[in-house]
Amino acid sequence: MALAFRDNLAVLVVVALLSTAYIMPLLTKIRRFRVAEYFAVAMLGLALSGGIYLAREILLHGTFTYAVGGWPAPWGIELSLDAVSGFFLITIGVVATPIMLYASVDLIKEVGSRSRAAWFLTLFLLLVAALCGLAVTGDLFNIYVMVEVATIASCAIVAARNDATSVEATFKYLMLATIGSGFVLLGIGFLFVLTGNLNMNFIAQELSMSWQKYPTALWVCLSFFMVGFGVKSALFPLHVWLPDAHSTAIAPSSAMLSSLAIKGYIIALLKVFYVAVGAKIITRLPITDILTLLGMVAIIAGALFALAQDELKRRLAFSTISQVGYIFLGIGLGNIHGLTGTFMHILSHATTKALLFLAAGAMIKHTGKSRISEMAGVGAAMPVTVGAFAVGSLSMIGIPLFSGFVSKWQLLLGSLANGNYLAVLVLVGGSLLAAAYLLPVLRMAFFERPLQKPVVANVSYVQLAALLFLVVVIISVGVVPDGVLQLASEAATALLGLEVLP
Amino acid sequence: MTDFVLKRMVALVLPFVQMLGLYVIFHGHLSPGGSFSGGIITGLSLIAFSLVFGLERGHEKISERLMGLIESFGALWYGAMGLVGVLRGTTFLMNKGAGVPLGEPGRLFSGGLILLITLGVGLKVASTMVTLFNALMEEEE
Repeated sequence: MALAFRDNLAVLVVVALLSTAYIMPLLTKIRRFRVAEYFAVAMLGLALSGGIYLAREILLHGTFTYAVGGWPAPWGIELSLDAVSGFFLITIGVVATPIMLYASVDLIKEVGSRSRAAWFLTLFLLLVAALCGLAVTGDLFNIYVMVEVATIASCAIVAARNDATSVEATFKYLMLATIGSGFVLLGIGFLFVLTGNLNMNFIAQELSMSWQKYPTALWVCLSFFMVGFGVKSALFPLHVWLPDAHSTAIAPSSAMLSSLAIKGYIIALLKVFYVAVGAKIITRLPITDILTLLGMVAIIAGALFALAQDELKRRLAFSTISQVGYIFLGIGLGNIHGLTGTFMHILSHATTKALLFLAAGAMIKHTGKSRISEMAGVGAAMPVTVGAFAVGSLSMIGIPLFSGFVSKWQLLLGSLANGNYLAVLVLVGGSLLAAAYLLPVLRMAFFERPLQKPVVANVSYVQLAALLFLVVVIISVGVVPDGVLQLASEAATALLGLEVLP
Repeated sequence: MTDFVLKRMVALVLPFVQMLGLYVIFHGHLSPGGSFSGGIITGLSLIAFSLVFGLERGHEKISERLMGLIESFGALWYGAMGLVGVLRGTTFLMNKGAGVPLGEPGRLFSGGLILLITLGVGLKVASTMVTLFNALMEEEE
């Protein structure tokens, strides 16, 4: 049997990135370091185009599955390619490519030595490959493996610089993330015992017939998943590792972790809840209400914590906690607009937060100041970088014409459709708070007179190109959201429509 | 370490340990064990050498550079074997369906790609064990 190119593309995206990860140590040994970095950027770009091609195929010809090794579904590992996978693959490519480009400029100086930088490239690509794996897989145990790879890789790139604070943050992250993995594994174990399957579509079929027989076991299992993935994606009361890890890492690591790594776990949670357990069962259980509530608390609490921070990267890290709240709110709403909003927010927060962290990294590096109160007059010294930061801030607040508006609008529609007026209030309040914690940075950078003599900063053109790429993505998603929005709502329909009738 | 008995004993035992490791790797498709356990046994033999004769002499036997190369090679080899199926027009990691000769069941050279894949994984596991050990040892100094 001859398989179409697009079928193999599903697995080739992951395999190509994994292979690139292992080519990195070889390439850095025999060629100049720059060559390896540009090779990595090129492969990420290829993965992005592969993702776009796959998403287009999925939109045109519907979902398809791929049996790895030729073993069919209940026995072998099955990749299931639906709009969710396409959407997340595009998100990964759009964000990871500019981050890698940004990192390529002064990676060796940032992490300390050439061999460490080589390992950084390897781990970065492993993380991206694991996230792509999470996007395409349809198998629960495969999800667990990918989650583990992503966790270890993201812990390691937090510690890339190897100074005391980042190692301490990594240790904290590693411990909590391991506990999270344990919960996830227990949850998978429960589902396996309840249904005898690891393939998510088979679990859905099995559960739709028998879930009423084991309500308590299902509850326990779902709570395990919620806590496990909640720890890893920094859902509010479980977020304690995030501020340290994201603020002490080097700028590309923070951008990668904050924008993509935590989203991978959210995609995994979505797949487990809406595909494996099924929308029909999930929306009938109060677990969605818990997610909505936690999301709302996270939006407000994360924003309030962010307000209290003076260190720029810490403020951005707490902002991530607040924005993760929006995503969980959408998951909890459980209707088409809510889930579309969730997907759009995954994309818009990924691009926006990557832009903010990268711009903040450049600002901190060139001024030598990490506190917002010391940033007076930075805007005059590096107008493009701070301008990019401004675009990121506006998108994060949710101003129309920026991508953040599109996602928040969908979430708003979702809340209204559920008659959840508290959520509407929280969404608006969260945006106001976002303005309150992001705009002072811009005021400080642009409108305050510098205390000492103004700094002169030359950000390299490659880094500026990376920032501008993200700016273009944010604005084009904000101005013409049609294509992405269609893909997102297709993904939401796929999740809600996969229910098997009891 | 300067203990004479220990050094002699390790020198005597190591060849057999390595032999066992390679045996387990090569018979991964026939008997219990396989690339993972075999790779660990092989890796442990190198670690034992470094522990008893010192890290320096361990590096003389296999340099860290070579270890790194083997590590990457093992992983890439797996990917390459998987691509055989894709290149033959079937799925990733396809074995018999991709037209690989399977050989006679029970013989050492049978099972198609499985033997080749276990070889790569065995190399990868062994070199990773040694790299991990080296990293921990160097941290101490």
